[in-house]
Amino acid sequence: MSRSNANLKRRRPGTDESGLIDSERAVLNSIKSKGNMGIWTRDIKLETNLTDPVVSKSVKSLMAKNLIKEVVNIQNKGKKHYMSVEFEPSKEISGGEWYSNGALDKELIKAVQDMCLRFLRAQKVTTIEGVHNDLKKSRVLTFEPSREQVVDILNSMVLDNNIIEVKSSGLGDYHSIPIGTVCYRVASGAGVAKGGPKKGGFASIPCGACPRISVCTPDGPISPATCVYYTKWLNVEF
Amino acid sequence: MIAGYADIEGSSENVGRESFTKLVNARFVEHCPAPDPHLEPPVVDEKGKKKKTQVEEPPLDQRVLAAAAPMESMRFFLEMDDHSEEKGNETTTSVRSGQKRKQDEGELDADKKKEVLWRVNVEEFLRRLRHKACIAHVKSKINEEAAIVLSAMLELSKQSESGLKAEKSEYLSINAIYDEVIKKEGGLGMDFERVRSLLDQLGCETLSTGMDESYCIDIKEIIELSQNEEVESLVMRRYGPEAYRIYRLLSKAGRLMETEKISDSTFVEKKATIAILYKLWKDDFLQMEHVKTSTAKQSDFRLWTINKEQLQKQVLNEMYHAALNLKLRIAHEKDQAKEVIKLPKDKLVGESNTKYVRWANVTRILESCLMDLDDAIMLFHHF
Repeated sequence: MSRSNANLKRRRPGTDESGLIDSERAVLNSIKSKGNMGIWTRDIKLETNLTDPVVSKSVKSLMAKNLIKEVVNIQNKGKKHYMSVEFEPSKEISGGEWYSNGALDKELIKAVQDMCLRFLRAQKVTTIEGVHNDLKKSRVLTFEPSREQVVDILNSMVLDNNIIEVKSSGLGDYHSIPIGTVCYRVASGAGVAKGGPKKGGFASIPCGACPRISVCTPDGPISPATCVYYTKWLNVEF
Repeated sequence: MIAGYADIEGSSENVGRESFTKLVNARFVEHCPAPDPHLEPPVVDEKGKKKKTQVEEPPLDQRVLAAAAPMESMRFFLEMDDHSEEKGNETTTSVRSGQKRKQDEGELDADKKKEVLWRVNVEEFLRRLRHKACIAHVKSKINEEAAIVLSAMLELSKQSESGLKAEKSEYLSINAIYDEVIKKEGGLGMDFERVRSLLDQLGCETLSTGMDESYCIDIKEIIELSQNEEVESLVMRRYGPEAYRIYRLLSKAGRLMETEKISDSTFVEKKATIAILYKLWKDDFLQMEHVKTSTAKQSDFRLWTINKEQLQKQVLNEMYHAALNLKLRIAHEKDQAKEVIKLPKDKLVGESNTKYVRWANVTRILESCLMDLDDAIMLFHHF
């Protein structure tokens, strides 16, 4: 008797050609049916009517066979989600291109922001489409950014005060941009990236950052005469 | 010698008068309010009850101030008559006995009329400082040239500005603006197109009538932007760059926003966003609304917004507190160094000199910070 025949004889009851037992097949089908959205373990249990230990065992086995993968759901990182290996997590699950393994990809965001800033510095003023085209042409990114993603990046830079949003007047620097089109230019003065926005009169003194200003009194335990922040500030200056 | 002395006296009087005229023309001094203002009595109906008017009357103190204020045309009215000339006329005029009493009364009235009291026009100083703050803001936000154009516009429209807190300048023709711009230092090299482009960058409203085009600048908006910047810099200092981004998003939006939307728009992790929002809310920088829905998948929403008016009051109060603190620290530093301050300069050696130099430097820093803080206080209190 050949060895393969012996293996066939030893096949566990309920297994198919791919070597999956019924429970595993049910779990796999349930996971596959959700496509790129993935499924939560509890939902697998409800769909397959299997007990917790069986579901856990099946998931473990399917993972070992490299048929499914665990994915982080950005909406709820605490719940374990599984997806068939053929699929890539949808935007709703992964959080989009700006997320990597369920966490915000700050390095990528910073890199794209820096690229946008370079384009804007070179052109003085440009539109969303202008930045979008430049990003596509640069081929630095591993994905092709959508217009919405470019808008996201530019808006975040406006919030950081690194660039300003303006409307084209069709004059001077704006001569090539139709009047009224939203465009962007590098903000004069410092932004967050350059060490913070312009410091106001209040923010420049220790009281501006003091968490205890509400309990600070002229003769109290916290007072300007005995304030440690003041002492530190005035001693640092020399 | 006496004549010579009189000449000097006369010339110094002239110089004084000239300087005073200059001050009046520049509106730095004005007539004092009337000492005994006349208030219209309240309207009383037949039953002796006060009639309720539809429009609520201002409080008594404001009514008195309004009644005492000299007419706008009289505020800066300077009688140009010469005293000596008047005297000369008097001597040559023959006085008839029947008219004597009448003339005496007339002279008395004239004396009363001449007795004009003057005071410093604080409003003018504040207006100029307000303009200065606007120009400084534009200079830092756009560029030097835009600041020159703005200062030209404010210069042109200042005569027509009524009250301190004028919201907008009057409409000014491009020709008038250009003529004023080229008078200013740094404005000579600018051409018409450049001025037009800068007016546009300043966000001026345009009015075109036939051949003429006029521009108007929103002064209130510039002040509001400066105020926002002051509060934003405070958020940056206290809570860091991510909070700064979140605060600016809410400030720009000017409406309620949901936590998740805030997190997405600012590229801040949701967990960190929640932590920052709560911190800002706890310190009264934000307002929160809790919304529960029964239909949506997620039933619990937290919405956030900024109540700018309330926040500005809070910040202003803290600024007053900080100004007091700076003053107290200046006094404390002086007290600490009182022994070395009293010492004559030649005895300032070694440790006492170090102590003295430290006191001088610390005082300079504290006083300069107090000046900057005063500017910020004015931004919220007066402008």
